[in-house]
Amino acid sequence: MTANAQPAPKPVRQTPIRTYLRDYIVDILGQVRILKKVYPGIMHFLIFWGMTLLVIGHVVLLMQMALFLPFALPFPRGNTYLLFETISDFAGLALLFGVGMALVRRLALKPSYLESRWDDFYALLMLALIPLLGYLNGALRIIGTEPEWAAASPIENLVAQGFLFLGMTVETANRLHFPMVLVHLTFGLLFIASIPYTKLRHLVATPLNILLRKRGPDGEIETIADIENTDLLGAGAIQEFEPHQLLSFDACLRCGRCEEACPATLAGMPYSPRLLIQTLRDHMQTSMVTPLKAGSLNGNTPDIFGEDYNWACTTCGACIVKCPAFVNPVDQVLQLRRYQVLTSGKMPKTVGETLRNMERQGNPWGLPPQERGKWYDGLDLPLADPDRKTDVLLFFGCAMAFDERNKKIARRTVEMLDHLGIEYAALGMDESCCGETARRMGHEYVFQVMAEQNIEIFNELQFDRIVTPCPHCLNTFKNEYPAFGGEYLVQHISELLEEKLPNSRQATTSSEKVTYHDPCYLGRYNQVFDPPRNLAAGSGSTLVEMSASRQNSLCCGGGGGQMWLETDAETRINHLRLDQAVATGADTIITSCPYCLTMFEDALGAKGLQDTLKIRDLTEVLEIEKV
Amino acid sequence: MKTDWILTTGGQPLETVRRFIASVWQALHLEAMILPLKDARTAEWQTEVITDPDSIQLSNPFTPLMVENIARHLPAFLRKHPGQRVAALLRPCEVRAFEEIQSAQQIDTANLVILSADCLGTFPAEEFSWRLDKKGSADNLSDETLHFSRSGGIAPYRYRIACQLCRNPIADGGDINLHIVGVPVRDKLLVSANGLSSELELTSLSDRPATSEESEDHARIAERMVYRNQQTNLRLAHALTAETDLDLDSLVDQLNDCGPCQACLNVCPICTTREIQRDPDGQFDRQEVADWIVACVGCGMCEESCPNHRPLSAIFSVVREKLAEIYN
Repeated sequence: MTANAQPAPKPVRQTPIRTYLRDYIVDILGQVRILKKVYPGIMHFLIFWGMTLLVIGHVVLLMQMALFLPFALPFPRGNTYLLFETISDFAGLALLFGVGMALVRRLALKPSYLESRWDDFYALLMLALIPLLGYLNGALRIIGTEPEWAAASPIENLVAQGFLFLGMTVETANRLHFPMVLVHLTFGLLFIASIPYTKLRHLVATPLNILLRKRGPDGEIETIADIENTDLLGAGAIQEFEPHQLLSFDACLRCGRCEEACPATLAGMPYSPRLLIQTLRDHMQTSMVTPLKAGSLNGNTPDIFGEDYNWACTTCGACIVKCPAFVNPVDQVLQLRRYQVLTSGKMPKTVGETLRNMERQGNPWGLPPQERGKWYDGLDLPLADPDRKTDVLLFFGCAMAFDERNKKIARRTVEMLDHLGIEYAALGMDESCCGETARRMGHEYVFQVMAEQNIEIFNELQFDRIVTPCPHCLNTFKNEYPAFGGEYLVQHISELLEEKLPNSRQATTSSEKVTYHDPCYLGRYNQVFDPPRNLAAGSGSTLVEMSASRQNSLCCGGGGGQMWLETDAETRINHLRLDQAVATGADTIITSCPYCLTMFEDALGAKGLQDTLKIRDLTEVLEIEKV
Repeated sequence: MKTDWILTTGGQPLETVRRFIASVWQALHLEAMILPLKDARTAEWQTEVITDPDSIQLSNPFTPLMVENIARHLPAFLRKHPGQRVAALLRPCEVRAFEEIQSAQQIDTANLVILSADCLGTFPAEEFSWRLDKKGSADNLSDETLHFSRSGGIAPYRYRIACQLCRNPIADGGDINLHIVGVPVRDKLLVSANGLSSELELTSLSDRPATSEESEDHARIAERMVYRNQQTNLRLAHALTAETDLDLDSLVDQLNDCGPCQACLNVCPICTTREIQRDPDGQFDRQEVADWIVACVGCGMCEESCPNHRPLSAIFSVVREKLAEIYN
């Protein structure tokens, strides 16, 4: 797109006001993420709106007297007042109903991911006690003043009738009213005072975090700006995190949705995003009393996390999209990794080896760069020429060039594009690693050097869009290169094929049942769900979905550098995902990512299922003759 | 209060350092200097004695490579230039080694000027050579290192183990010390002097005195580097003592098993001050080995020379700590 243009200076993103407004309405007031689970969603909605309406109602009530301000509110009066009373009455009921649902959930339903601590019960106790006291006061008021419009507050009225039935007199009601108001007031103020010390801090921290969080695509890891002049590379002690990250630790409510979605946790690894954030939070608290020394999190001996803890994360992003408080555990994992790699040197050996391979050979496999061109031996691959404009710049990526299985996919892709007559050019031997693995393994400097080199190469060429078969390269070019001045239109090969195939539904190899695995970096991070599916499910085959698909797809376990890290055989994520695929009854698993392909092949081999189930790349199921 | 001085670099830290060293040569009327130089023909780095300040252009104190510990050559160097004012460009571990040699041999160093520079770490020889291939020149390679001097260097996992364990990578022990740690070298360099300041007008050789903030920045990052290396030491000690019973006796056994090989002893600067005797069966004396290890300065040349690639820096470091406990 920006062919032959000078790289733009690093753009400073200004978030428009309408984005804040949207977040406020949709995520703070509407709480759409919480509502993704029906029971707790409704429960929280009732509690939230019950409480909010009551608080607003009380402010209105307080302002009926010229107490804090030199005037009293002249509204609501008349029918508006009656409406006000009714709404307040039902708000209390909603709140109590929500609290009831919560107690049932904590005491009876007890879902596995739910942690119960003292402040959970404290909050529920207060949220029950205060409205009950409110109804009590309301009932006393009705008994004492006997208004004609008592029916406008049906519940207070009911309670009042109950007290009268039990023998309460008007004099008693009048005598009790003021002291009970004070009791109610005391509990209300206690509630507010306890906000910083209990889970109630989320009333402040969570909306603030939703508004003040890092903006930009989920697929973009925060850049270390001006890396050569920064004192701090990564975070080794809690004080070294950015302020908005520290805020996110307070915003976390321990709800456990991240943990439920995390492939590492599900596979049985001792890692959990919730535990990560909560541990960081605890240390934030402790550090306010005693500042913790550099490296106390994972650089020292002994340390809080241990050398291996944050290396379990595959950076799949499931935790990011689930969190109703918009906490981002992946960014914190990266902070720890960066500290280990760039500052302390305390990290698993394979990390150092992989990074050395990237620096030395320019690819994480550590294979000689001269081998990059071997895969297209014998093919007439059109190479990019700075003087000739092309529609598509096809970027294959290291996996396609160096991994044996994926070299076949690369060749097939070329055959397909040639057959379709699509105009494209590739970089051939000039292609160099996109740098994504280095970044996700914590070596921000190597990544920045690779990114800047690639942007320089891209800017010398003329093309409309970059298309790549590798979702990792896709994500990095699309979401991370703009921070370095490289803004291009980037697409996945499936998007290009869908566009160019006249009748995509006819294009596939016939197979009874197929299932499609959404790669994290294609689906969740870049919202490309349908093009591969439309291509995969052709005539004669049925597409069945796995239990966790699309936005909720379970990671194959290959991202975040995991391909090069040693994992315990008992806790393999790819085995777990394969089980899910097997459960669909499909005979072919289709995917569109070289890492996912490798991980599935690996799992099939380990489980001995190569003869019962096939794993295919999208391009392998598309019949070239049919297109 | 010790004053530090600033050299403005204008984006050229290496040239500035070279010019500064040449100006020191002139100011002190030096007659010779011993330092690592790149051979013009072979492009190999080796220790050389120069008598012409123009040869300083071939030097680069920030090259991330250490071929040998120059301290071992200093006694002979001084003997070859009796009564002449001479200088040596040394890394902090070489300065430490020379201090050991000096105290053991009572060398008169009145005419020796030691120039030292902060060290961010050196690569093992093989790693240096492929990185050099990628960068094209040693100056380019040290440029990349200098980029990160402000934060105390990055990605320590790349360097030699001895460097990762270095107990003090800061140039404190020289007569004139060049500081890059915690200093934005694209703009400036920090220089400090010990003792010579009365004679040497650093005020005229530098651009201005350093502000207390500049000195503090250097001290802060220096402390962080030292702390980081201490942590690496602890980690290594933990790992080594958990897996093995590494102590003086097992080390002596290991050395005995090495047979006639003396590679580590031959390159060690401390070994120039004493004869580590072996009895007719080739067995080492326990006390002599202990004395040797205690005097170790951590330069790691032993590890670089070991034909079996034993992790001697780590081993010696752990045993040294254990001996220190005993001796204390």
